[in-house]
Amino acid sequence: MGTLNPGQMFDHNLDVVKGPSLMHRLDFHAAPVAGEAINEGSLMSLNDEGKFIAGCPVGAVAIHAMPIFAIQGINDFDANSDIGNTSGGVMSGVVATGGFEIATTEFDADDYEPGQLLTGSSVTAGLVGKATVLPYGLENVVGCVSRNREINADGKSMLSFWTMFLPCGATA
Amino acid sequence: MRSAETRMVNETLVAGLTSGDNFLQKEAIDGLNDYLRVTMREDGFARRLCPPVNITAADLDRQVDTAKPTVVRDKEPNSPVAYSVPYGTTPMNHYIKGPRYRIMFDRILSRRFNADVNTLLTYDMDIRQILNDYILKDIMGEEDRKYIGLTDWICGDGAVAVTTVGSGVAGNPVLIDQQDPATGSSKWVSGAAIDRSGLANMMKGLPSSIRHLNPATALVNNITVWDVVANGTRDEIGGNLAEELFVNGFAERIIMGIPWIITIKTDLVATNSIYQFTEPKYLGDFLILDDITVSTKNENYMIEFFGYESIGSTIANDAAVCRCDFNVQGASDPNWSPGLAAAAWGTP
Repeated sequence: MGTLNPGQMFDHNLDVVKGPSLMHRLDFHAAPVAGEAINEGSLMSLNDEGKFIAGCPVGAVAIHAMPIFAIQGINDFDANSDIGNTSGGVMSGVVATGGFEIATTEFDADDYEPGQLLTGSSVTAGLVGKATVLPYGLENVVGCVSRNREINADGKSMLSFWTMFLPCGATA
Repeated sequence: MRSAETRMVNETLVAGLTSGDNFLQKEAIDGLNDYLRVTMREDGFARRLCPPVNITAADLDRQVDTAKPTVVRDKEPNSPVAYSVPYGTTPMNHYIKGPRYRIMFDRILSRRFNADVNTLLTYDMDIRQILNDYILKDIMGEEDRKYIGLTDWICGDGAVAVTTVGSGVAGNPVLIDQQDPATGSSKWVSGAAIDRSGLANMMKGLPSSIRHLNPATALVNNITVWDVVANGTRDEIGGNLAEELFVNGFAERIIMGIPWIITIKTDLVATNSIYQFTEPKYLGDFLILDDITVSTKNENYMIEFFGYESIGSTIANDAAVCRCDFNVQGASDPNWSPGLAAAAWGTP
């Protein structure tokens, strides 16, 4: 009897539920920092070198990284590749201010009511979680929940929210 | 004034691009697409080092954990050495396991060009040629950038630095004159003069590995090659060839038994450097899943179009490439590149 449960392509998922037409949506591509834990659907942002990192840290005075949600994982074959291949080295994501409603598997396991503001998870970089303070305060707000988590057709729990960006007033 | 012919070409192009449905998504056909493909093969040095092969969906190998396209290819198996024994001795067993590797794909895009169709009518030049060149050069340059980046990585990474001499190509390993334990040879050496002896030494690079491959192509930029011309005296490379090089310059030709590809991409192939690549069947892959295509869209009076392709290329043999960095030639001559930073795309 088999005991292995192989990974599936829908283990980590980003669904752009609503938003601009595919060919004109606001996405962004850049190289990731090697080794970052970024899955499809993860929250990520650019560091001061212009490379993707997991999460959306507070930032410095007047410098707050734009939240971006990963279209592919850092080790997907088109974003990274086996040694000897020329492909990969670049990731892409949809930009939070692009007018999207997205559903992602990458969130803190919790229940959310519509209107709940979201920030980067305080537990795991790359996940989103509940905002705990007022906007423009101590955390960058990256989304506003549209639907509580739901089990999708593939048996994965996904949280739906409108992407947005309310930069925090605090600095690192 | 625009010539009648140019005007007609532009009007014809615009009419063609804007014909049909409002949201017309099409592959560029006729001369537009054919032209792109032909010139790509002539101008992209990566495609000349490893001739491309078109594949279809039927050639892809499926994976459980991803829908991303992949091709799995077998690699030549190794066999343990034979050995001498006295009579009555039985053979040692060796279970057969052959190595494989994956060819992975991504997409190369040009910028998406857009314009009001009426503004296209005002150009004096053949706008079709301009737009073809933009798309072509962008995609071709990206192919070559990735290919030479991988080549430098193979030559420099995983190797043992014997000496540190200056810096390598920006963004790539800075150690040169490196030895690779896996192949038992250096893959990136420096310090030779561009003369008969130095070039002959360069030719020893690939055969010096334990895989005994021979160079099949050399890649050099169009600045370094003049030092080959200058140093290619009768004493150095022989009478007729020296005479012809001096009179006619350096067209692509065979030197020391292999063709030399001369590129103007000095940002990719550094001056005073020469790369060598072995035969494609020992080198790797250049698979085309989506050949270069120009997609056009017309909405009222605005048109937009961009080029794209999807390729998977590899250098799957780390003994198949090597790089020689030669001494700066003519150090007392006036320097055409005094180190001024040119304003280029992507620089601050």
